[in-house]
Amino acid sequence: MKVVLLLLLCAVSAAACLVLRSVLRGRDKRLLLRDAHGIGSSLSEEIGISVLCSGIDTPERIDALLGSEYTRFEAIVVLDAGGFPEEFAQLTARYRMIRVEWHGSQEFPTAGIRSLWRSRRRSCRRLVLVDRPQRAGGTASESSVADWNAAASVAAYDYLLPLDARTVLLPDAVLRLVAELGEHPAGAVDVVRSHIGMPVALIARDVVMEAGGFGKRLLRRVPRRKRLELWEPLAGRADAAKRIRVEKLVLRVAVIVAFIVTGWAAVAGYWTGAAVMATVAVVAGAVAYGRQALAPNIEGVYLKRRSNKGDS
Amino acid sequence: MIDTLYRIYTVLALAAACVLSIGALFAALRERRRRGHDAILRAKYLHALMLALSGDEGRMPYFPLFGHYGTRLLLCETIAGLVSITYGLNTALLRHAIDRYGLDRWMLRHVRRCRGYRRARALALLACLPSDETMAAAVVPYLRSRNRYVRFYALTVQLAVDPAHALRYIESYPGPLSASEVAELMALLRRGILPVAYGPLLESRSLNLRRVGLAIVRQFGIEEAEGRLLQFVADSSEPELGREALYALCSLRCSLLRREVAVFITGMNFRERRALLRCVALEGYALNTMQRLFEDEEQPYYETLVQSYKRSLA
Repeated sequence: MKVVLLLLLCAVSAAACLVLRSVLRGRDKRLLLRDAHGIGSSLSEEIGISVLCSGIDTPERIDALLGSEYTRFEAIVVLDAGGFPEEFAQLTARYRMIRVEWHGSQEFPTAGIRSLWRSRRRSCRRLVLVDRPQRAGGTASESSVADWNAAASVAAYDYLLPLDARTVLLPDAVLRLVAELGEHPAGAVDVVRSHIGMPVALIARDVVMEAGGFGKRLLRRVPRRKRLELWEPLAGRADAAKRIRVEKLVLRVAVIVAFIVTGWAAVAGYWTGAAVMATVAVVAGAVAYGRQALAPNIEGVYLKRRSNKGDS
Repeated sequence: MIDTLYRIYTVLALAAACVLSIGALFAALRERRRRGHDAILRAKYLHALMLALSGDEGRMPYFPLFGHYGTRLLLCETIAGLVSITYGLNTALLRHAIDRYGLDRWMLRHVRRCRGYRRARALALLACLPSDETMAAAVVPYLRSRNRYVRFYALTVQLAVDPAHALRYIESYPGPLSASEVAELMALLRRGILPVAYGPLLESRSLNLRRVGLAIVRQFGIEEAEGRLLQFVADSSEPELGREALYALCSLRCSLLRREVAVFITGMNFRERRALLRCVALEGYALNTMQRLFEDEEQPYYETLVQSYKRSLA
């Protein structure tokens, strides 16, 4: 029993160190590609990304999405004009949206798209607004899936990035994803997903189509060789501004407590307890290091948003 | 025995936790320094360089605190940023500063010390500095690196310092260039480092040179290359290149009603055809063109694409 526990502790410590290594490598790669300006402007026509937004109705968040420098990119926002008339009117007025004619694609299970709106402003031409009624009684997850399917049916590009109300895309996330896709031959990658921060996944349109739309176990259908895993944040939580400080504090306290308890257990001769607490210290230390390494990526977004609010 | 193992594990885990905690502390201090001290010093260096560039005397600017920890890298980054926004013009003074402070030699040592993506980043920085041609030979070992980014940025150093032999360097580059790498080469081309003459590139036997040639044709909208693009489409030995040529034809809005194009589309799989249809629709081709190129099964799909007003707005 003790041997198994020791092996388990070794495995946990090793896994924490390996994940940290991947995170640091991801951070270095991100810093490298941050200055690669050619990718945003000169990449082949084959890589385009449609961001599908469900539950995103504030102009600040839509502005943040439209800030991407990549040209072959669009943001499709799904909103219920009947359920949220004020928000809908605010968006159509702000972005000078006009209702456009649209013929539905039969690739995705779309239920009840009322209308499609596009901006007359050239600077917002990448924004598409879909008016779709929310079904009463459905869960938030079901509603998001239905919204994503509706948005996918009007999407123009070959890769789809679904976002919900809780998820904020980091500013350079689109360019980062494009760079990652551009590294591989066309069609070689079906899914790019990130494990750090809020989990997001960029999915090839055909994968979603073959699965009959968004839903559970969609990513499991994709063979492992066609998946690309990133160990860097592409998105954060929409309500993360307060949590960041608390999480930092909790991590520091966890590391210190783990050290103290390990020392105490070792002195008292409880070596099993000391080993467990030392493992906790390793994991907490790895998380603290990883968070600190990624701090400019994650915290920058929230600090910037707060200062923008202050300016306005 | 098992207790001894537990003791050894605890000591090792504690040591690892200490290292990680110290690493986190250093990362925090480095970040604080970057936001405070480094940001101020960077602004001072940039100011000094801008004053020297705008003055007629060509006097070497004074860089405060130069020689302290981290200042060489800071000055390299400032010069590289300046070169990228001046499109490589007025480099004489910057080059003089690099020679005087030995920044390129220091950068080369920095490249040697770094590993992985950090090394690639250092090479990318070196490529932006106006250095002499000896750097081309100095980065040759990095062309054999396992990290593709290190290999590629070593190539960009060679292209930047010795643009006269750019084609030879690209031709001898080990392995095929990815779409991202070709896009980066296009950025170098806009900075005036690569030649724009697309003809020799398209005629070359090197796959990399042909890909760069195709990218030039697409970027600069060179309609005269249509015939050569059609040859690529017709050449069945390299379907990847043929597909790139087909997309280039689309972005040039050339007529797609050619036998070569029709044959190539017949050989494409379902997903590739759909992707091409979306691209063709986005480029604004008429329904008539698609009817003649694609099979009847695809008709409802492309009709939806073409008739959607949303797309014509795009």
